[in-house]
Amino acid sequence: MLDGLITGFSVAATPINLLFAFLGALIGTAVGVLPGLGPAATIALLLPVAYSIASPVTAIIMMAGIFYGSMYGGSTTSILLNLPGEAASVVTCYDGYKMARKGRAGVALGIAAIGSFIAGTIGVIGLTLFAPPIAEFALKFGPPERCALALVGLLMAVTLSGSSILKGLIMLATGLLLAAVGLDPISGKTRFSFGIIELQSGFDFITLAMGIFGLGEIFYNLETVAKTEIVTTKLGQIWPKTADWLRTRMAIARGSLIGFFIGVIPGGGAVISSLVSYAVEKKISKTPEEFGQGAIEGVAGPESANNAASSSSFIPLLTLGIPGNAAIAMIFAALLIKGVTPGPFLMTERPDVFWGVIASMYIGNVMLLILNLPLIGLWVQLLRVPYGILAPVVILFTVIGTYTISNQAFDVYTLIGFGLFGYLLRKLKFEPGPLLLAFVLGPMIESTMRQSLLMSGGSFAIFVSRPISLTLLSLFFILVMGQIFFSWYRKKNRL
Amino acid sequence: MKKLFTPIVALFLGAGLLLAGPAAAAEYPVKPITVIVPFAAGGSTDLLARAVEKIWPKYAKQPLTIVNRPGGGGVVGTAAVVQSKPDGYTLYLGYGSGHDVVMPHLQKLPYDTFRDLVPVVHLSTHSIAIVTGAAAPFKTLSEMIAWSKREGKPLTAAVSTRAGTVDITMRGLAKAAGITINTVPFAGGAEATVALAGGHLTIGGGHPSEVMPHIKAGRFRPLAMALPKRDPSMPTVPTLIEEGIRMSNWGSIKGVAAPAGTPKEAITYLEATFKRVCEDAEFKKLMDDLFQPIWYMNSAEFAKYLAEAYADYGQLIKDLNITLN
Amino acid sequence: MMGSRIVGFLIAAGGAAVAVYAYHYLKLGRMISPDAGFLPFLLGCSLMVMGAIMAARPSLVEAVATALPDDGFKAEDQEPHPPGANLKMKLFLGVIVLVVYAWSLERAGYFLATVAFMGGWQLAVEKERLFKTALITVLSALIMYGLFRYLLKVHVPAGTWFS
Repeated sequence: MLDGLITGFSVAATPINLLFAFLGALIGTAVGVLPGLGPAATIALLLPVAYSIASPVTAIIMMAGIFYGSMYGGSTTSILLNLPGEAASVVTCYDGYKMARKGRAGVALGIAAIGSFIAGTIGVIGLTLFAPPIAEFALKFGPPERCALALVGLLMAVTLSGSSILKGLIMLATGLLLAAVGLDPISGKTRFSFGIIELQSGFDFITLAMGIFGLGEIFYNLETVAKTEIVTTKLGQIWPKTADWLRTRMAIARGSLIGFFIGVIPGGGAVISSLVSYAVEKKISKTPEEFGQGAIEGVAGPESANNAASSSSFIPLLTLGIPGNAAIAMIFAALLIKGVTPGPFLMTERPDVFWGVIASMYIGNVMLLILNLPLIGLWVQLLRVPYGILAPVVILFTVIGTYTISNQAFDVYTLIGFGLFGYLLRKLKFEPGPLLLAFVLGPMIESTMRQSLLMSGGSFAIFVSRPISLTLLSLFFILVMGQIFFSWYRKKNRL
Repeated sequence: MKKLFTPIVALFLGAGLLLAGPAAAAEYPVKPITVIVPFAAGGSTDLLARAVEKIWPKYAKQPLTIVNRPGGGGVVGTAAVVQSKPDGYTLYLGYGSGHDVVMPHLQKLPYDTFRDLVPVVHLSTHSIAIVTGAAAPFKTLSEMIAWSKREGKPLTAAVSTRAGTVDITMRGLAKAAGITINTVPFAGGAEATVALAGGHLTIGGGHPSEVMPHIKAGRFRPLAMALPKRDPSMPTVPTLIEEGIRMSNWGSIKGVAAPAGTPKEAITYLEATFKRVCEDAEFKKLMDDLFQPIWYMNSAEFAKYLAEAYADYGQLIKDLNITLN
Repeated sequence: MMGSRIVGFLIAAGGAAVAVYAYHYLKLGRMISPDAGFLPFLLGCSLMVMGAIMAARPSLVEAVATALPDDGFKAEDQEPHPPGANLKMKLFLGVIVLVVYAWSLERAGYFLATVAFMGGWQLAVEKERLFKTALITVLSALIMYGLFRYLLKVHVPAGTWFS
């Protein structure tokens, strides 16, 4: 294995591969920061470029760079503007944005970048050492297991519901309903489209997130304050202090592990791991009431988790030839076109590709850190722009980003609609987080549950007869019971 | 300030008009052609599209832009093409798939597959390989049927989409063999293959490019091919007919379509260019690697082929009394 | 309190509508294969219940007073709610400008529509000065165009009025 890595580094460290790794990281960061286009769509657009590159190693190095680069970039808009660039960054919005409002944007961005770097590196090390057995483990996650896992994730999303659990549950239900709009894959029927053909494919996450978080906030601010600056305190703290470090190192470590293991599971790995990490940090913390108000662990943990997850999502691709999500599927297609078959034989047949990619991931992580840290100073300056100018630019940003998803103006109307909805939510003091997360996890829960029932012939026993799903479901019930018990206990003691 | 207002507005308008660009009146095509693939990336249809995309620039001055628009088993992407402007710059690759020739018999679609789309060329027909996990207690199709009847338990089959060709093939197989198969749909061939690889279902159906790596790794065992004749890329696998299952199977037809109303010159140009691509040596090698046979048909031939397939599937569904529960 | 009651009632009504739609138009299916309407029906029912609870006991959803130090909002920039009309007008204008933008984006093309939007927003909603508006408008339109078109290679609409 060590000589494999050495081969890999010799392949990855050639000037041309380094150049493409950097290019990929750069484009990836841009993709992460700019809304609308995700890594999957970008890789698709750049496939023709990949064709013209002779070597498959170089092509995949660039595409991998785009993929995990976008994970770095996604946190930037979450922290600065409360705009989640993708589902895995929603959790970062909570404490990250609050930290920015307190003038600690630089600290948040710095910890996010460094945490992501450490997590990404841990992820690649894990990949190097444990890829095949982990991949086999991931295969054992069939529909019942994925359903249970997504349910656990959904439960964690309730921890984001702020002060009122009832409102959080209402948001959850609404998110699940919004996800049901469109074509239902299991039955083939269209739901809630009311004859409007654009609604056949349902709502897009980006439109929902941009609308509710982005536009909603802007609309709300229009009404409540005449003029405001986002940052009112001194810009002093650009770098994390030692105290911040000490607090977050364990959060980063925990997040990396959580992300690494959950990220291997096909479908939804990064989102669920960011949720689990946030919930874990909140539970373990000695100061849980800080969460939601700018707790630095609330940024460090989830950001590390989603980066580790993006590293480990390569494992099923490289060892089994199974793509775990849309972006990896693109890389999979590109490899096939270039004559490389990802799968169990990749390690032996094309060690240059296998190890070359892994080595370039180490390099890529370093590059991204070097790329992102200096930018933090730049981003923080952005916040000093008066809101009157920033607001329309942000709106422009979200509108064009939304439009480019499917090239239809209907999406922009939808965006505005969600913006008004987000405004209402803010006025009525509902937390939008659980809604977004239910929107992402809902389809997964519904399809896997129905698939499981089809597999078992209608019996729910399938969920408990299989060891992994039984474990996860027990965890789910223990957590729910624990939650109910604790709040009852606390109420009792308060009286 | 007021004095400057008008000139400034005029400046903006002028700049806008300039940047908007003149109308295209030259020869088709003058800009890249968008090809919508209504399935997820990495699937057999997507791979076919990417192979074409790679070779296309050799024979055309404007490239192809592949756009994946999965959803609804292919309906969402196809609907997008139906609604696009019929100017020859939006095409649909995958015409003839399950949602085109099977689904309309079972449920209403938001467009008319044959009136709203015009066939351009036929590129390939993808076979459906029926496979099972290596740990299964049977090795051939007949053994499987015998096992199922003996055990009295239904088989679970991983299929790529509800009412797609794999789904219908499984149902047809079940009815013809007299056993019960519960088909479990996933969001595309890749997901279905993953689930089968994990051993969560008894059998599954997919394209050779999807299942071959797993067969080679010893994880899958092929049982039969749903094709009229044996597939040259998997010559040792018997066809359903050889195994005694009498049902017609057309495989998964993959052609190219344009929205109805597309000008004749565009279609003729496309026919000619696709033909050159299909005859290209590099394309042949690519398709070999992808286990996809090349089978070029022009617009008229394709239309006839499609009509036959459609009618045949309709007959199959009626004979076997297949419904969408 | 009353606000919460009303909202709760509306949620319950919405939930009922969803449940009815799911029951009638989408079928509920059997246990072996819950059909399209199953989950929406369940969700509609739970929204009915939760909305009803909210309407009946609004105290459950009132925010718990938190004993936290201020979260970064200084007093100066949280102006006490000024007489409503002025700022509600801002919101209204903002939405109108946005809707016009969405409508014109494909017809007038990216550049023209964006310029009109940015200009309109800053002048009408934020009441900025003309020169500042013009500068920011053109700059941001160009930069945004460059980012999306050249870095990410996505096309922006050219405008049907012109082709």
